[in-house]
Amino acid sequence: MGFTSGLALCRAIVARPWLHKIMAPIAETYNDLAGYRKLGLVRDDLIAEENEVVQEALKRLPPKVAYDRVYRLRRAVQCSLAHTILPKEEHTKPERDISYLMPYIEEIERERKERAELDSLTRAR
Amino acid sequence: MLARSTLPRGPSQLLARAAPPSRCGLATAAVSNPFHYSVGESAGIKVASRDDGGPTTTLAVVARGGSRYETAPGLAHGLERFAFKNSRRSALRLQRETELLGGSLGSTLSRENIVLRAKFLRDDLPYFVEALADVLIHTKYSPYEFNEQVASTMAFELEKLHHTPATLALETAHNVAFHKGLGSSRLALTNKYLTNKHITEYSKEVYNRGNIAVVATGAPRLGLEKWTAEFFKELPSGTGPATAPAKYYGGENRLFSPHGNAIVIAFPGSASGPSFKVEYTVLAYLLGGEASTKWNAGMSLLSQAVSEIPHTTAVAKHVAYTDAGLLYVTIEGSGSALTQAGKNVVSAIKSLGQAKPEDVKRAVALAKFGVLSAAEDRSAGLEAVGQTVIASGKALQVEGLVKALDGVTVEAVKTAGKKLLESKATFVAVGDTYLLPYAEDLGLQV
Repeated sequence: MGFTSGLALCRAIVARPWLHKIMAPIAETYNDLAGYRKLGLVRDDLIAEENEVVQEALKRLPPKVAYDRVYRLRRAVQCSLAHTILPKEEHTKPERDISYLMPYIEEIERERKERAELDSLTRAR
Repeated sequence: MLARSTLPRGPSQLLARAAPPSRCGLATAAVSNPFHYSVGESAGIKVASRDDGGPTTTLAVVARGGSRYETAPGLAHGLERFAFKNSRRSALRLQRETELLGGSLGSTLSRENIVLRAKFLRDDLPYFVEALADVLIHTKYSPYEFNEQVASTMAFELEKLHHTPATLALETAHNVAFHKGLGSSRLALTNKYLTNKHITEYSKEVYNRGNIAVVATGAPRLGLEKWTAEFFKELPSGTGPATAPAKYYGGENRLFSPHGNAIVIAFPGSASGPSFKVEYTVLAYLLGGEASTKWNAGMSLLSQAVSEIPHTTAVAKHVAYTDAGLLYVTIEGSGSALTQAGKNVVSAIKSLGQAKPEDVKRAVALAKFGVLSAAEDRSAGLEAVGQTVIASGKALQVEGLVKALDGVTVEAVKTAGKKLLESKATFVAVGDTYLLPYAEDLGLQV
């Protein structure tokens, strides 16, 4: 299971407007209830980074984006240690909760898949 | 024949296509003039080709975008190193597919041109025309690719330059001789200006219809024009970067280098194109320096000049750019020997005015062989052809050059030789600057 396996489902939903209309509010509520926005994080900050793919993706981030990520994580850790949440105005707004890391992860997984495919070519008869 | 439309079906089919049984495209008729390039235009792109009937093809896209045209230092180098990276298909896929077809891809950078090359079996022409077109049209220039793959090769090339005193001296000599433009460093000395945005902008400026030429040897003209029209149709039109005409300045420069010693002495030469003066080519061969047989100093002026000094070489060359030229002598050897060698070389250059007819005759013969064998060589000749095609719409024809060489007189060579010393010389010493001579010591006027 790669990191991007959920993306296929997500795309399938977005491709069907009627389904998207039903699912979007549910997803939105779920994300809100998950609580990470109250710590000033965005969804992609929650991706487990202890593996090669995400490490490589993190290296590819533009400097400003990488800096912002570290800032958010440190702020969230601080909140966690202090057992508090951020004041309301510092919560992540839903429109700011954009996927900044997933495109890179997706690309790296695609590259790896392609390499594996090309490494095991067989000649068609 | 492989076209893009066959690719999505997966690489396994490609593998099957890699060994087609037929060689239907092979021309069997004897070719009357193997050097003759026919020039055409397809979709606004100049296409030059010659079909020598061989089983392999060498294809090149010459883009007028070398270091003299770059808008910020190092852009040309960055752009050249981005060739064959991720485009519509990934860099890895392109590489593997090329290997399956038995071809090879490469790119070179000169002061005037970025050249993308492909060598492959004759039948695979469409695939490789498309591969080169993809580089021009679809390369992504992503910043992380620059950091992961491009920057390291660029750094390696720069490091190599700094460890090769003769090349470094020639680079510096260009800088001293032509200052900006033609004199700007061929390689990127810093990555400061190489942002994704700048490279993309420069690629748009360089890779457009009026600014490139597709040159091929061993490819049928009609096929090449057809595939060029098909795959290059998305290439934007344009006329390429503007540049100020080159002007010769001359002067002296000295660099310390712990990696060896070299001196370059250079004089203004002749520009290429219709007004090319073949005397300068003859002068370069008259000075010579490279022996025609092994374990032998040779009879040319320069090899005689340094034959008494052990482990020292002096070689003269002439390079012609579109609007300027440079006749240069590179002297390499140990630091302490270079003062004497330099003096000998300068007196050899001063003796050009009294060149003996038999020496000139030998130089003309060598020059003729040099010109013809360079034209025959499939990799070196293509850039020169592409450059003249972009500049004038006509291919550089070797017959003309050979004819001009036949017609060169001893007097013309002597006059050109005398004229060398009238202008300010360019003098560059790289190495142990404590030991290396100054231009003044050698009797040069800078």
